[in-house]
Amino acid sequence: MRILRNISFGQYIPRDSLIHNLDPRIKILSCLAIIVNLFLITKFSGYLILGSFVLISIIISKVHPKFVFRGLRPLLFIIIFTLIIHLFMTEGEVIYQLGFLKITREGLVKGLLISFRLFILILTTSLLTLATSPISLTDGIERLLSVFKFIGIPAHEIAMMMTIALRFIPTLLEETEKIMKAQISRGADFESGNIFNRAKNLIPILIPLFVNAFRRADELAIAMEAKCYRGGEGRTHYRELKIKKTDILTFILTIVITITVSVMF
Amino acid sequence: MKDQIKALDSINLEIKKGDFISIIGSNGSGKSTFAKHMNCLLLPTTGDIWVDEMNTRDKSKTWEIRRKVGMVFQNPDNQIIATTVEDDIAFGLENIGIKTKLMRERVDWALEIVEMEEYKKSEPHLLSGGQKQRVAIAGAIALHSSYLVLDEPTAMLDPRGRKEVIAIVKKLNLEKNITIIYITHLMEEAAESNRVIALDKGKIALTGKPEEVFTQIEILKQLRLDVPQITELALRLNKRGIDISPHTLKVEDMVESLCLYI
Amino acid sequence: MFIHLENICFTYSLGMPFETEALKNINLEIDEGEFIGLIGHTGCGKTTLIQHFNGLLTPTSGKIYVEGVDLNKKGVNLRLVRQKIGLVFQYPENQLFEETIYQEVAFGPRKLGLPEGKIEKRVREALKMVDLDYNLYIERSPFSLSGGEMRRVALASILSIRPKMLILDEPTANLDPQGRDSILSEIKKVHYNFGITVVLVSHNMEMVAETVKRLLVMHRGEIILDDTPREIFEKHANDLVKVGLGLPQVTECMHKLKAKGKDVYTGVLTVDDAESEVLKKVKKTIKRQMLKECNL
Repeated sequence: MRILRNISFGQYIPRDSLIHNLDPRIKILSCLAIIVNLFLITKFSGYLILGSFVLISIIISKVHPKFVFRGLRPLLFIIIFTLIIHLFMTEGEVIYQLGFLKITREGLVKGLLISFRLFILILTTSLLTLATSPISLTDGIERLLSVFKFIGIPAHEIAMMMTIALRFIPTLLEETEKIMKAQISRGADFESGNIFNRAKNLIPILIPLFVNAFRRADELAIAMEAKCYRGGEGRTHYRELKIKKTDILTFILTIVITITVSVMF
Repeated sequence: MKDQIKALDSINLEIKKGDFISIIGSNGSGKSTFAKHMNCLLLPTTGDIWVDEMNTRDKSKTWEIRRKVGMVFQNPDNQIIATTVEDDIAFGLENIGIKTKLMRERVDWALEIVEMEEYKKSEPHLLSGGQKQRVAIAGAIALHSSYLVLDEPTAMLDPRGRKEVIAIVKKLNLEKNITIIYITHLMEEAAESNRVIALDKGKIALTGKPEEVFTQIEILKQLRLDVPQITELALRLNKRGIDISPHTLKVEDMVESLCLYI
Repeated sequence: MFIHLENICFTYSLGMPFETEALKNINLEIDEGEFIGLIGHTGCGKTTLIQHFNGLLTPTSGKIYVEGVDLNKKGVNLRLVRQKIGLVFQYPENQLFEETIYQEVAFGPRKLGLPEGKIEKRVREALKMVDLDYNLYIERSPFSLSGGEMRRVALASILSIRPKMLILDEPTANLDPQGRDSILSEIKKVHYNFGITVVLVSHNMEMVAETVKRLLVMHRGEIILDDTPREIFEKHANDLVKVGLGLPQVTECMHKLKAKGKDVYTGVLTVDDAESEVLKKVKKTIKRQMLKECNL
């Protein structure tokens, strides 16, 4: 039960660094550029250059690498799994044979390439969330999406939903823990039984949680209305986003690197 | 409709600028319904409500009225919207389209009044109940509202949180000349106001200065409300022939009167 | 002895950067049949402490015995302990989930594996204990009730497991005076008529003072006072004020008189107490004055 308390959402690590101070839009766009690039290139040297670019950014961000690599852990299984699948399942020149299992040169190359791709992808996105506060991330997403307003993308509404979700995650976690404990005190059992029974045992947690969430939503809506909320129309922003010189330079650097890499490799 | 319930029943009331009014009443007396009429969250079935010469029925005035009449609700967790204190206070200002530079000034100004400057960057879920309510108050007054309606703001707080909130409310009334409409069922808090209105089944049952209202013990008990301990003691002693004013509300006054006898 | 706590310490998030010491070396004995108030500010550790009583939390160090059984020994059936110690959380109406009040109150007994006949008996008994009419209420949805009624149903849903001890965390929080008085009178009934040991957790001094026989005051993870309310008000009023808990108005009044050099008894709990104390002292003064006048 205590686990719930220890989950940290929006794993932002506050530091004063060049990366932290970049405009969130620049960070999001740069990440996108790198990710798109990862899927375009096909040579190791390309991954090497992109990988070192991301690694250097991690060093500049002053976020301890252990936090960045922590994000890898849950996905390590997937990386290894894809590597193994490619190692053994690709037809080609056999370089090692163990019984009926054959490792081919093509398989090794393909497997490693895809592993690198996933690896760098995760590092890039971890760095983005580690070095950008949830607030500026939502701000950035809102401003970027508002470009597409003319095709009917509700940029402000999406951002508001993200903000409220972020705000209420800790509250709801706390509440879940409390309801769980209360039902255990009444004799509920969440630890034994088969999967079907366990799922059924969740009802005493889920129903109160939903009922309370609906009541919260209702009260929150009234509070928002009382504070003159009427959607995104005519709204100003407390957090101004300004493109600085460093932002432009960073963006140019990223674009130059990604284009060069994708053209050359 | 058969199940129609009259939450409020022919209420006539004038609230003067700078006043500090408390509204008491048991659950279901219509207190919260009354509060929601103050800033167009609800419109009356019959009758009119005027805020600074603006009728709450006039749709074009809704936003102006909501800006002028700030509201603080009971549950501190369900009225904070943003993920940091400063962003939450700015929320209302963003809604009415204040320029960013002015907004920053207003946020700092409001934080200073509620004495929460050092928590500017904090996350709301890490604050105490009293602190959360102070943030909610700051969010309302940042709009430069001239009226503040508080709907049982301390019902979910502990004694320390209650003291924090009531101290800030008194300060707003005295120093910033903000008109306060304070809904509560705690008599100690209502005793701080200038005028008490007791609601019962949507009607005004009692009204007057705190010392006038709280000495009507019989009526208060009929309305299922509490009587401050000190007032009850004063009345009982008075009945026993000791010359103590039955209008005694504060411990200090009681001590002073008793000193003459003991 | 019903519950015995020996050097209980508890630290949240042990070994993490935001580690906090919630309980520091708590020693406590509770006998069967006691009526105890546990008072302290939010964050003083009251809620953490009571969650140790039925094994919801395991102490970082120290031992807890319930009827002589060490809760943290391997193989102890905590579900049996939870059946003996009913814990009512703050705002218990938030944990209601069943379609009817009958099902809600029957949840606990059903989890005990009782036959339907016995379950029905328990539901009747529990609803009676909280003053809700069985026939009028069992078919209704718990969500259709008023706040005060919902809380009474939640209380009944714990009473139906027939605990020997009932722990209530802020049972009157956010109720109006009438709701508060009715919950309080039900708690008293549970204690006096059914002999259930009660621990009442609260920050409402006036309410606790009038109700309990033994008062525990917590501050920053420690039990700083443990005595009858009268003794505590008479001798430790300063400590209460120091930790920000305050006194009932009448008690405060007596202490202020005493500070002015008046000889009054300060251990008053209620308006009745204060009235008789003042009358006693006033009569004495009047007598003395009359004697003085006679002598002249």
